[in-house]
Amino acid sequence: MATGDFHAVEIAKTQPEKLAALEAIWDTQPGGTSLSLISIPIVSQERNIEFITIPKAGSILAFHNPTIPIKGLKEFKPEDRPPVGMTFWSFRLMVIIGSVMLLLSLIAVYLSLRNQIATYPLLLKIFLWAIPLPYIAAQLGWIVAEVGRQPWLVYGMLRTADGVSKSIDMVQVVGSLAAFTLVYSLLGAIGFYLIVKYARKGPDIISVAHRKEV
Amino acid sequence: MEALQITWFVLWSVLWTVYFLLDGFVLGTGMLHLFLGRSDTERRVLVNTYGPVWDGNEVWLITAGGATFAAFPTTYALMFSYLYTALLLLLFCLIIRGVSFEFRSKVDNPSWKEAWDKAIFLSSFLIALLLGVAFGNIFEGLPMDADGYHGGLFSLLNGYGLLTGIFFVLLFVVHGALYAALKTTGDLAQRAKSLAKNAWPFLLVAAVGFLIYTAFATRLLGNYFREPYLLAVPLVAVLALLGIRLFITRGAVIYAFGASSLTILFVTFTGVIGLFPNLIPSSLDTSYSLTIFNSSSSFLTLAVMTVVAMIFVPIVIVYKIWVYRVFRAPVTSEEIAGNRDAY
Repeated sequence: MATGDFHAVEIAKTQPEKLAALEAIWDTQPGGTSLSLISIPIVSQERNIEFITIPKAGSILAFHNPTIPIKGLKEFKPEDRPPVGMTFWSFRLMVIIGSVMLLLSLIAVYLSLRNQIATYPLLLKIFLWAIPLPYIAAQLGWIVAEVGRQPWLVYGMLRTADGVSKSIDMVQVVGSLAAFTLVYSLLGAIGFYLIVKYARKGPDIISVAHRKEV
Repeated sequence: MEALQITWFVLWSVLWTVYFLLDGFVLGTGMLHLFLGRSDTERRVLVNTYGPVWDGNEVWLITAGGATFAAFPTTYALMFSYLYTALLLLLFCLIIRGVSFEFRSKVDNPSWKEAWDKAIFLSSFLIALLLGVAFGNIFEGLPMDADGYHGGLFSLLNGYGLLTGIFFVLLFVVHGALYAALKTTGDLAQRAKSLAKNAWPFLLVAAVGFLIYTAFATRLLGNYFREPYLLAVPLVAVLALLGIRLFITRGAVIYAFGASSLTILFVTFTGVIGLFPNLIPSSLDTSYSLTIFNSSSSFLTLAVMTVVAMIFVPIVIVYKIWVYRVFRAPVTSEEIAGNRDAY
């Protein structure tokens, strides 16, 4: 949460377009930007359907100051704006997953301290199924970071379209992408197989007790 | 400014040299994996000789690439665009090699282990060969001018490139065999030693061939004609190469390994001294060569990097020495057979 706040403040300063896109803020609101708990952007009409709006919440999050407005997307030329839908929804989903994980960890800490964690089998099942969540959240975070900085490769200096290498042809790009997909899928499958195999085996109590640190 | 650019050329060379020295024996032992390791336990012993250090060694390659990116970004950008497919091939081999060490002993099934054993051999061989081919082509220069690069994947596999590749392979094979002889015991160590001895004449032939071909195919000798005292560097390389055989015959494996380490160091220095001030010469028109002067970062970037390097490189060297001290003992079959946590 602390690093998330640090990031928000940084982005507000260095990449205002990204901040506006991930919160789908279209207009600059003089006196402070509000934030809605539920918000559905309609990109084609450059507006949102919003419920439960909290005044000045956006400004507080971005600047730690309720009166500085967040620059709205309409202040940027359409060709300088990042894709709003993908940035906005990836960010939403990431934050939701992050909150769920935080909640699960707090429950786990509380029950562990009371030595009761093993008495809730359903909860243990939920923890098991929550294993993919941090990976999904991390990927969504990358989508926010990378889609949110478009159309720039180097912010303000080099557009992605201008950064394409002239000496690599389509075949090489498609081929390398296919090769990466293939190799990583294969390694992912093998890795998953090994994780399941070792998880099924369970911890080796004796060897753990006698193991020397490697 | 010029002093900083030269400093980073030296550091760039040192990073590559140390990488070749350290990963050289891992690649070499990997190439001998199927031939030296006659049983599952022996193969596990071999992997465990470099198991705790191989990934640290590979970081020198990443740092060499990183230093190219940060100090000479133009060279980095053009090299990775021009040699896209070749470098991706190298990358995939590095990925496969890394996981094959880690995966091979995780499942107790002969065909699983056999598959990863073959992967260790093949990826190590291809990495050594491709690195040699890459440096051979850098020594020769790439066909590049104002319109970019005029070669392809297969034009890299020219005579001089391939000879440099074979030279690298043999150099690492001898280096790796000596490492295995040093880090194992009994029969396995004996076989590793005689393998180093038997491979050495082939290395000598490749080295002589490389030296002669270099005179014809590259402009590396120019710097040596201008500054003849620099010839001391290739001279040390030659003496070290001869020293390998001398020390093996006398049974002093540790000195022989020292000699093969010196050979790798001074062969690489010989190459980069000849290259200076180029990073990648153009084989078409020298005015399109990528040099340390026309492709470097700004003064500020280089200055910051120099300070960072001065602080962290000594720290890295200290903990590297510490790691090698901790794992200095040879690996024995008895110890490996009873240890299921090892590689």
